[in-house]
Amino acid sequence: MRKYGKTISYLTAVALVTLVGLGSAGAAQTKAKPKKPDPQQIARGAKAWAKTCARCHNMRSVKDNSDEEWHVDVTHMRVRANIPGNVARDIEAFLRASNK
Amino acid sequence: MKALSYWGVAVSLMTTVSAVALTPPTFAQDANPEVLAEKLKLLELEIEKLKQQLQKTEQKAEKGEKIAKKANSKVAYLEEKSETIRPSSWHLAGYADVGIEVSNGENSDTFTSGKFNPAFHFQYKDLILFESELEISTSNTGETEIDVEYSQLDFLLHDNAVLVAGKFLSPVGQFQERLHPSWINRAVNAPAGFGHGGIQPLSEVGLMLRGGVPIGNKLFTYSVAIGNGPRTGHDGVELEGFGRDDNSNKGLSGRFAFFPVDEFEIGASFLTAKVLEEDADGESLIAASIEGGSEDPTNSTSRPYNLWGADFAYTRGNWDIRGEYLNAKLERDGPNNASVSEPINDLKWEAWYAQAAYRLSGLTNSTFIDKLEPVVRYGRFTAEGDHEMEDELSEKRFNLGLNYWATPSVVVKTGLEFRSYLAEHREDDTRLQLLMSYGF
Repeated sequence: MRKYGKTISYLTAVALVTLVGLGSAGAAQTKAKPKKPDPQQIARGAKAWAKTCARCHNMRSVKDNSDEEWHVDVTHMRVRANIPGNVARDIEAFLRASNK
Repeated sequence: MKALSYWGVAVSLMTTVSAVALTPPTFAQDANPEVLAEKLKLLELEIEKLKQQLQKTEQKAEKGEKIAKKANSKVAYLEEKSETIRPSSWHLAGYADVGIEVSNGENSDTFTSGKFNPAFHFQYKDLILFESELEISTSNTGETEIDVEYSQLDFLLHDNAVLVAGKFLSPVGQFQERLHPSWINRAVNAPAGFGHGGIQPLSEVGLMLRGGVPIGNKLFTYSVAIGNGPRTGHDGVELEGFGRDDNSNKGLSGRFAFFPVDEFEIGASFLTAKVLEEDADGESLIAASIEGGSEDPTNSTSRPYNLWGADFAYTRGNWDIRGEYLNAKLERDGPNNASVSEPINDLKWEAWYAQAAYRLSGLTNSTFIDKLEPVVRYGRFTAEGDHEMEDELSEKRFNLGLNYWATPSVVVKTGLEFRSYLAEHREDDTRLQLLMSYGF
């Protein structure tokens, strides 16, 4: 039992170290985010949105949310549906370009 | 001599040129005016064609220029209109539903109480997301019940890895984590053996690593969780996230899925844990025949509980077809059962369902028919190893339904459910259900 407990502590420690290490990578991602809408990214996002979201539920109108709400909502769905981060960013770019 | 030669060449050339110039060309000699007129006409037509082509090309070029201008102005517009995303942003989502159920069985006809599930999402940059969903409902006795469905911190470590900490929906299978909200679920209720009281784990408290990894143009997804694990309860093994672990044995669970094509997903799930022989009231789940549980409660040990499952989903065009299978076993045989004369069987559970829904959009010109969606589902849930549990749980469930999607997230669902209990003394039951759900 004790051995098992130690293993868990070890795994937790590893996870936290990974978190700190890769967290900075995440911060770099935020800074590197292009401000100018990229038409190619928007096109990729439209395709990914159509095929990813409909796997579980109906697709809501893109006008349902503001840019900021889509930003948070897409992150929520990225976690729930195991969507790769780059695909999630494409989808967000499409939604933010289409909700005007 | 030299000069004479030059004169000779010059005279010869002049003679030749004069001869050529004075002789009419061969074609002119042969051609008659009609043929020439014909040729001229053809040449005129050719020139006209070329003029038309040139005009078309000019028009196309103009059109292309217009499109390019439009795209540029759209980009400029988006740039101007793009909201700045604040470092800390949030979003409120969730769903609510109300319903009616009419039954010919032992249950009375009833309005099913409205359920309200607000979900809060708070995000700090592209680093952390905190999300929590509450379920607020009215109990059968009238009290307001508030449950925390999940309350988790998601650390966005990498494009292909997210670390989840806290209370989260169990990653086992697809129904609980992805389909259970009533505005997503195509049928009126959960399949037999899934949802509350079933064998699909509902939630877990602990850590989970998850993400999606592209392999070529295919996608592989993973979710692996370690948590406090299930507990022994009155109804067998309780598969909810508990705030504290009662036996220091952590439950390990997860799901791996693969998309061979975009529209088709296959998944495999597992859970392995140990649960105490007795629940919090000292009741033994291991040997139901032993009054009051084991003779020495302090000697209560843990028993292995293992679950595995497989699922698939096909979503293309108007079709939504999916199915799941779960198989769980609690090993009951062990040293504390030495005093029991009869052999103690392991407790086993099995649940599966298959469901198909077809949206009628695009089949006719009617906007009403466009919004209809027939659904059919069949499922079975069985328990084995304890007579009381077998009688209470084992059933077959056949559902027919028709949904009306007022908007993509507002649905009115009607359903006919045929429940066939496997216990001989229980009468079968048919239910007519109506549910309205709004996802926001």
